[in-house]
Amino acid sequence: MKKWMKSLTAVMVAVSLIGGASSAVEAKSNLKGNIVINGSSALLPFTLQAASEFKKENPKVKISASAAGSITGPQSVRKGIADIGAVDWDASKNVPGFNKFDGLVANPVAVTVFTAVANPNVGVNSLTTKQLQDIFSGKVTNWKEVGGSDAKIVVVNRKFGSGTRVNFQQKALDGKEFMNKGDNYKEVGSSGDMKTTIETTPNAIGYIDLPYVTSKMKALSINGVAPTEKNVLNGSYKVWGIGYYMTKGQPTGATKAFIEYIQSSKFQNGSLKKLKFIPLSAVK
Amino acid sequence: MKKAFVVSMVAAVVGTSVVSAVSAAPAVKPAAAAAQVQNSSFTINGSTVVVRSMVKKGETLVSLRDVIKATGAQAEVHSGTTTITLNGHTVVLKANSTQMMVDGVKSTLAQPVTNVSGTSYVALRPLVSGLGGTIARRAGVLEISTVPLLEGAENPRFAGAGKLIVSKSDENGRTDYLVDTTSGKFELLLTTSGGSDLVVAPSGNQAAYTDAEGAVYVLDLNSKASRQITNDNSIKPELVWSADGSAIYFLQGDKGTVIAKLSLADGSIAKLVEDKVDYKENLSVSADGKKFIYTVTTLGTVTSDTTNIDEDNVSIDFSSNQQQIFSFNIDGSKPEAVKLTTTSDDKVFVLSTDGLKAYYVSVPSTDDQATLLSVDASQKAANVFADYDVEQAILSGGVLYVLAAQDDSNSVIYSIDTATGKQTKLYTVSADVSAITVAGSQIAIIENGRVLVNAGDSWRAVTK
Repeated sequence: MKKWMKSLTAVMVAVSLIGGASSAVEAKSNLKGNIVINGSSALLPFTLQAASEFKKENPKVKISASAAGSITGPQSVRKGIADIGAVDWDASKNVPGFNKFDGLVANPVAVTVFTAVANPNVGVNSLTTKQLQDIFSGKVTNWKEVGGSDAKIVVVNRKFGSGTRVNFQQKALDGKEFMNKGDNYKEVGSSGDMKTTIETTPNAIGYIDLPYVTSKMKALSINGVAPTEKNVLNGSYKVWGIGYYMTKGQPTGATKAFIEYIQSSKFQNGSLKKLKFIPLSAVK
Repeated sequence: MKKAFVVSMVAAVVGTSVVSAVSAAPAVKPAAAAAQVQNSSFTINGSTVVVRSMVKKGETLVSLRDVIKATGAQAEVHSGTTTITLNGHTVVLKANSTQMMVDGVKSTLAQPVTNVSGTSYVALRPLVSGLGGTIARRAGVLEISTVPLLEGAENPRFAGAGKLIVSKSDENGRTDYLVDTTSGKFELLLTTSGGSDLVVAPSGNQAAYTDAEGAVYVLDLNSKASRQITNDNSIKPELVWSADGSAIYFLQGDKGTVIAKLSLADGSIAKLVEDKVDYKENLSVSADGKKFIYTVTTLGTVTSDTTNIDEDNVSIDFSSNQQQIFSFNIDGSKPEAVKLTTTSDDKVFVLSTDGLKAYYVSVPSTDDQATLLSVDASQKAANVFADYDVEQAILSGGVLYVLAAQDDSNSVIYSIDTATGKQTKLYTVSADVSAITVAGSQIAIIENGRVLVNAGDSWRAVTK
């Protein structure tokens, strides 16, 4: 009897979640389960924040997170070792460099703004699309060629499989290829490593998502437009993308409830925005 | 389940109100129809009001005129028919009749509208209910509320005596309201988009928040005026007031790496803990501001080879993926993080009074019940509350309050004195209660999305 009651309550919670995430937020939860999340390091800060908030309302749901670049997200879900694959593009569709992941469903969770960043010692605040293409392809190698000081440019790239890399290549470089070797070329495995490398390497240029920008680096304008939420919303800044949680089929149980928590107005306009992401509803 | 309980409780209170309604004065007039009119004290919408009342066949009848006056309802009388309107509800009564119309629907009163010395008396409960109000009882006095309650509010926090802050979110952002816990009246406090929750100061007179850029403000809860303390735009995931209300401690950065202190006097920020350890959460600060308790989350380790994407050469090692509790004493001879826990259980509701000893709800990975534990630098966890499955633990004034599931129908609320360890069972509530909030002697619960405040021997809904 007790068990029946518990399962009935669980079903009721599930039904109320379908009815509307906002009304379910403070409904009594008997949700149980284990959610494993892997993938994008760009999306990690709000994933962890949401996990912390969600667990206070659903203490019996265990959430384990890791991040090693977007592509490992849908790979982990397809392989069956993660419930959610966090990725900076819609991995249920083909994108340049990556085939679609059949059977995976893309659940949108946030808007991410990407920006070119440089070590603060670089005497440049803005670059054109052409200058960025030339720098990241290795054609331009000295800051003085783009109006800066006479110093060799250190290009810091994300490893293949990074969603930040996919978005930056598509939207900041108009699809132009990156250089991939040389004395002044480095590759890093995560947004955190990019942050540290840009902060500590003089004359370095790279790219990162906005929440990772610190006072120890410079976020560069592109074609004179600064990477701000305001400029994304007014349409003048183009280097942004939607982050997705990929699931094997439609999400169910605790995974579904967690995704709905992240998509709720409360989280989107609260913690998500506080962490300098843009709510999904803002760009619809 | 609980809803029915509340309704029947209200019914019971009204049913017995005759006996316990406080009599403020002896009968004022001789009974006209074997009923005695007396002056009774009620609390109507937060104010003490003397209402002429009488008891007829066990039911309390009240002076229509007195209730109309006290609630601010509108009334029109035409040839023996009185039409009363309040907050969109309409009640129509006829002199000497048991017929009543509520919002156009006919109903029958047990006792007819009774005229005594030119004053109409009508049954209290149907009248209040017809006007959309509620009745509860506190310390023997009936409390009547006809104030329209705020709907769908969340996250109640006490803000001084008799006030709660609650919030509502929609796609435009979050709106905070200040709710009077006696009358249920509410007023707009703050509208924000991307700001943090309001964190109430120990005094209850102020609340702190960050805007979407990270700037910190302090809101005066009396004047409703906000004052910017700093425009520093670093991400501040958690704000914690100092015990004396002169500073706000916060975690800094998108990964909560740094523990910093913001002085309210001059807006200066001092970084107190910069150990480069990411993913700190659940910050507690000791009264002297020198010792901290927090959790650190370690991520799973991923190994991958992206040479051939289709092969899914990826593996995740979650053996080190755990949340552990640390303390940090910046005043010690060797300021460093001290690990308090090493276990793999989930740790939620991490609390501390002194920055040295932590309390937390341990959720095992098995189906076993969650328990409230304490732990210190000895790393030996001790049971604090393990009688029932713990759902929430909070700390107020050195006292822990626990919400725990007793069985499928009932939950219990306990208080535990952190100094003596003394446990007191405070209330048995419905299993539908999802959370509690406490400040001193004030306690509120959330039940099926409604906030109810404890009012002696009953729970009064202050939102709906």
